[in-house]
Amino acid sequence: MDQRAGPGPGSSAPRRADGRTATQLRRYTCDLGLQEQADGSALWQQGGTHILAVVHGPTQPTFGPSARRADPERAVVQVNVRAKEGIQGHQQKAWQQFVRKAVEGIVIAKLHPKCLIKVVLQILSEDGAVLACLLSAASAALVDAGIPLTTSFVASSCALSSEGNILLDASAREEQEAQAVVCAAFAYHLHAPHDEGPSVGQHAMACDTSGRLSVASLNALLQATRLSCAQIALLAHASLADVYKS
Amino acid sequence: MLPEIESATSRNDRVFIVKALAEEQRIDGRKPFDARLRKIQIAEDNSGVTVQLGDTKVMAVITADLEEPRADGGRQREGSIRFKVDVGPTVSFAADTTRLSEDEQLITRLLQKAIRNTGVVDLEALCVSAGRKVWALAVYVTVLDHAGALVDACFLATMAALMAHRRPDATVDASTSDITVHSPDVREPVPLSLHHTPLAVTFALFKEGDDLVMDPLLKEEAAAGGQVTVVVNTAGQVCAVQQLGGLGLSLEQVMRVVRIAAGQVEDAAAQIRAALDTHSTAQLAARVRRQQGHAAHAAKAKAAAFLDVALPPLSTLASVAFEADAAGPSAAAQHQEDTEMRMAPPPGVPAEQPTVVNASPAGSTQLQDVSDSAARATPDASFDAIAARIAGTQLTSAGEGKAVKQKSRARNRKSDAW
Repeated sequence: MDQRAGPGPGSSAPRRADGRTATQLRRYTCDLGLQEQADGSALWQQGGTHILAVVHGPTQPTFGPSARRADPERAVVQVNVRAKEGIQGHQQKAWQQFVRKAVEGIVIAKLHPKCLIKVVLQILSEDGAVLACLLSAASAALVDAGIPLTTSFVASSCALSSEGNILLDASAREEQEAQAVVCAAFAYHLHAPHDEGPSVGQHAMACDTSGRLSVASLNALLQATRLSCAQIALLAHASLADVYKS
Repeated sequence: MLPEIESATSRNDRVFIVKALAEEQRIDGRKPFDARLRKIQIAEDNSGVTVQLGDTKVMAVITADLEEPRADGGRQREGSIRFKVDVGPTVSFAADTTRLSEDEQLITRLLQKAIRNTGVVDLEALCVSAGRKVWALAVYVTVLDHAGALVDACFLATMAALMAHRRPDATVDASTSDITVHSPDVREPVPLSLHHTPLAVTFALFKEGDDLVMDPLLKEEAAAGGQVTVVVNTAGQVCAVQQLGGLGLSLEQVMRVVRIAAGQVEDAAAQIRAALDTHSTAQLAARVRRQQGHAAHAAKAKAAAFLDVALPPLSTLASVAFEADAAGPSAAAQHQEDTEMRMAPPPGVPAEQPTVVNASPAGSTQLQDVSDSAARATPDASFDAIAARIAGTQLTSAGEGKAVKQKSRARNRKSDAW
């Protein structure tokens, strides 16, 4: 992370390595419904991190280990995180568990007993905020698949740099050099009747931190993450609205 | 074939496809020897390439590791390259990830034959220290979506990835014979040296081999009697021919197929080169930006659609928790009234929401007044709870979201399933 305090035209904020200030998010896009044979899919691109999420379900778990896991009272959620090279390391397995718990929290599983809902997250490229993009992409794909959910969420991550600055949406290099990184997901709601746009709820659906940080810093980072999730929720809402318009 | 692909067509579909071909019409409007649109996207760090051939999407990633060379005498100075094709679970629900399916085996074998055995990659150039360390390349091809002509897309992705790949530069110290692998910041990574560029073209055969169709769709593959794949390089040399299925091809047909394939391969190779050129100019520009200093490019950065999130200063955020304790019941009451703390949308954001998606200048999304409202905002009781309970580092609080009406409207594709 490279913060130069040199004055730029029109702005005196110190800039990071890619020209952003500390409070600027990277450019991101969300495309729904790309895959032909899947029930729902989302391509979430945030800066250099691209994640393809594909949802199959609710469907019958007929073979393999999923058949043994079938639950007669609720749907079983299976999440598969695939790395670029196709080999799943322990990092991907940990992310898998994390995303599965988050997704299980929002899926109304009682509506589909003995069914399997499979979420496949393919990492196309990584450049920081991977877990946040995994969560956002999974939620967008679930919405695209039409699976009944209590709410949908978006996630974002912030880093606390070694100088004590909060950096929103840190890239891979900034995350490596940071003191601590916090990734949190927040539910977003659509206010359809008044059409005032989406808002982000108070409760964190999922939260993951790494590194050492004081309680005050954690609080600050969570607040910062929530504010950036509010911004990202605008995108998620807009992409959903586009799908319904076309 | 994957079970879902086999059931992709009904008998009516197959009869219609064959009948339409008799009049040189295909079901997506192409002529029999028209290719679909190709899109090539190269990753920023040159590690991989994603290509799209129509709706078929394939990603190829290349990794290079230093390893010991193979034990036989002749190969002590050569690196190695191996391929792994994975039809991922993003393609269909039925994809079995534990075993290699037939498709995967066939495509892997074809890649080995046409790329490794014909000497596309100069393996001797991959030698770092003879007999001790050589570069071992591994090509991981992941199929993201299968909509026909999978082999074509896999070859396109693999060749583009080989051309785009940059391996780290390694030097051997003459005196101590220590090998130093330089990071990309220190020394420019080195491209692979490739001798020729083979690419594959697949044809589907109908009606005893009389009707040929190039770059078949999934439905056409399912309706076809057989398929033939020709791998040709840009010099017009045939690298591999693979014919599967029951239909026979006459010799004239084979010659015709090779000729058509050669023309297609030239187009495809030119397209890869164009994509590489744009990619390298973009990388050069990014490197210049990084080295020249950011002040000079602050204006450009503003136009690159970074989104601003107005953040109150760290001290304000950090002290919100402690203010809550001090403020006590009045804060709690205010919090009750405003349980849904919405960011006050800045004037004009709702109208501009569609443009937020498409790289609008960052200036239009300044949430300047949010900072004031956030600073005065009601302290967040749930964060206080989290902060107070923090012991370890990982915390997963799944789902206490407000129950909202998530209406999935008529667009549900599988609505009859449930």
